[in-house]
Amino acid sequence: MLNEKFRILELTKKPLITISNVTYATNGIKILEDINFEINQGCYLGIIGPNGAGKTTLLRLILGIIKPNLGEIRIQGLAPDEYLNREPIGYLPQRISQTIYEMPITVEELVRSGIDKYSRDTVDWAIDLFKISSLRKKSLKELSGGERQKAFLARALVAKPRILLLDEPTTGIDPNARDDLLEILEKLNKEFGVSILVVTHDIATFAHESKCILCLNKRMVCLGEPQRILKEEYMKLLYPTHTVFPHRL
Amino acid sequence: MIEIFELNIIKRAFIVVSLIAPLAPLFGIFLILRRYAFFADTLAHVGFLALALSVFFGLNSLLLLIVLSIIVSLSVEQLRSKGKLPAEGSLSFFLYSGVALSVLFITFSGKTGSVMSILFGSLSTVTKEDVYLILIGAIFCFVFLIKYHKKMLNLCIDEELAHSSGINLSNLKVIFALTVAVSISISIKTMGALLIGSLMIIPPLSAMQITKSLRTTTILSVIYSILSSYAGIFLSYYSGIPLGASISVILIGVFIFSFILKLFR
Repeated sequence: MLNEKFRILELTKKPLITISNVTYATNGIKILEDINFEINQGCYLGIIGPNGAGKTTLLRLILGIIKPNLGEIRIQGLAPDEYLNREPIGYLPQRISQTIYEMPITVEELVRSGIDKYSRDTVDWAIDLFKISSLRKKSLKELSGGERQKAFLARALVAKPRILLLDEPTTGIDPNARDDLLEILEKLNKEFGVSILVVTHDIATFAHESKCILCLNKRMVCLGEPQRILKEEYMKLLYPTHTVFPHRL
Repeated sequence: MIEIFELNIIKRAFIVVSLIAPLAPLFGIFLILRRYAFFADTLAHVGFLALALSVFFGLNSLLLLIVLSIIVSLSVEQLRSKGKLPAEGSLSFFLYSGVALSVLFITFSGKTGSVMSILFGSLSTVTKEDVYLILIGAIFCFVFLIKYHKKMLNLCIDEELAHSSGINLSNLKVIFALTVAVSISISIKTMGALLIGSLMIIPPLSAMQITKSLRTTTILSVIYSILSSYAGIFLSYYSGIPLGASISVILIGVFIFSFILKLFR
C-alpha cells in the first residue's frame, strides 16, 4: 500500500480503484515502478508529471489495455476486464487514429457508437451536455480540434459511465473551449457523481479543478490535495530544471 | 435482350451477384476504416491458390477456397495481433506465396487455360452446388454484420476506445477476419482473384466522394455495387469481357462520376 508519507489526502469514501505494487516494463525498460494508491468514488484526480513519466501508461493499465508485470489493479474489487464486462469506462485517449477523420462519420454517429442500444434521449443528453447540437449532422473532418474533442467526450459519456479517464483533454483547444470543458467536468463530478481521472500538463488549471493530484515520475512522487501538493518542493521532484509557479517566487 | 435471362448461367450469375454485391462494400467500409484494404487483396490471392489446387487435385474448389481463406485470414490476424510479424509484411508474405504456389500448381496441372477465369472472374464457373454454398456463406456474413456492426465501428474508430466500451477485441478481430475470408471466398469465382477487391473498395470510395455520413455512405455504396454488378453481367455477356473485369470497369466509371459530382457540389 501507499507509503504514509505520500498520503496527504484523507480518503473517506468507498474505494473505487486500487493499485497495488504495480510495476510495468516494456522491452526491459521500466515505465512504472511500485505504484501504490487508492482512489475513492467521486474523486476528481489530476495526474501530472513530465513526459515519459508513465501517466498514459497508468491510464492504459487501469483500462486493462496493458497488464502490469507485477502487482494488481482492481476497480470496485474486480480486475479491469471483469469490470469492463459489467459496465464501460468513459475514455478519451491522447490521440485518435487519423483514419477516422478521412471517413464521412457524423458527430451523431460517433456518439451513437458509444452505446449498445440506441436511445435518442441519451444521445441528445450527451450531445447537449457539450453544447454541440448544431454539429450533430456534421462530419468529423469538418470540425475544429476543440469540436472534435467535445464530440469524443460526448461519445465517452453517452453510456453514462461511473468512471471517466481523460488523457490530456485540454491539448489543442482554445481557452474558451477549455473553460467549457472544465465546467462540464465539474458538473459531471459534483452533480452526477462521475469519478474523473485526468492526465494533464495543464497544472495551473487542474490545480483549481481537481480534488486531488497525483505526481508521477515513473514512481509516485506524491498524492494529495492540490493546495498541499502544488508547491515548489514537490514540483522540483517532477521538473528539477523548471520553475512551475514563477509568480510565487 | 430478354433471351439472356433464359440462360441458366445468367440466372445463376444474377442470383450470385444479388448475394455478393451488397456484402462486398459493407466489408469494404470496415477494411478502409481499419486501413486494411490490402487484407482483401491477400485473401483474394490465396483464393487464387485454392482454385489452382482444386484444378490440380480435382476437388470442390469453393469449399477448398473457403477453408484455405479462413486458415490464412486467422493466421494473418494472429501474427498481426501478437506482433510476430509486421502487419504489411505478413500480408505480403501470404500474397506472394499464394501467387507463386498457384502458378506452380496450374503449370503442373496442364490446364493453363483456366487462369483467365480464375484471375478475372467468369459467368460460367459458378456451379449449381456453388450457389447453395454461396447462399450459406452470404447468410453467415449478413448475420455477422447485423450482430457486430456497431462493435466493428468501435474497433475501426479506435481500438482503445472500443476496449474501454467493454468490447472483447481479440474475439471480434478473429470473427471479422473469418467473415471477411468467407465473403471473399464466395465472391471470387464471379469477380476473379485479382478483381474481388474492386467490388469491396471502389463502391465505398465512390460513395464517400458525395456523402457526409456513414449511413448514407453505406446505403449508396451498396446501391453502386448492386447496379454496377448487374450492368457488369450484361457487359460481360455481350462483349465477352470476363465478368470481374466488366464489373470493375463500370465501378471505375461510377467512381469518376462521383468524383466529378463532388467537384461541382
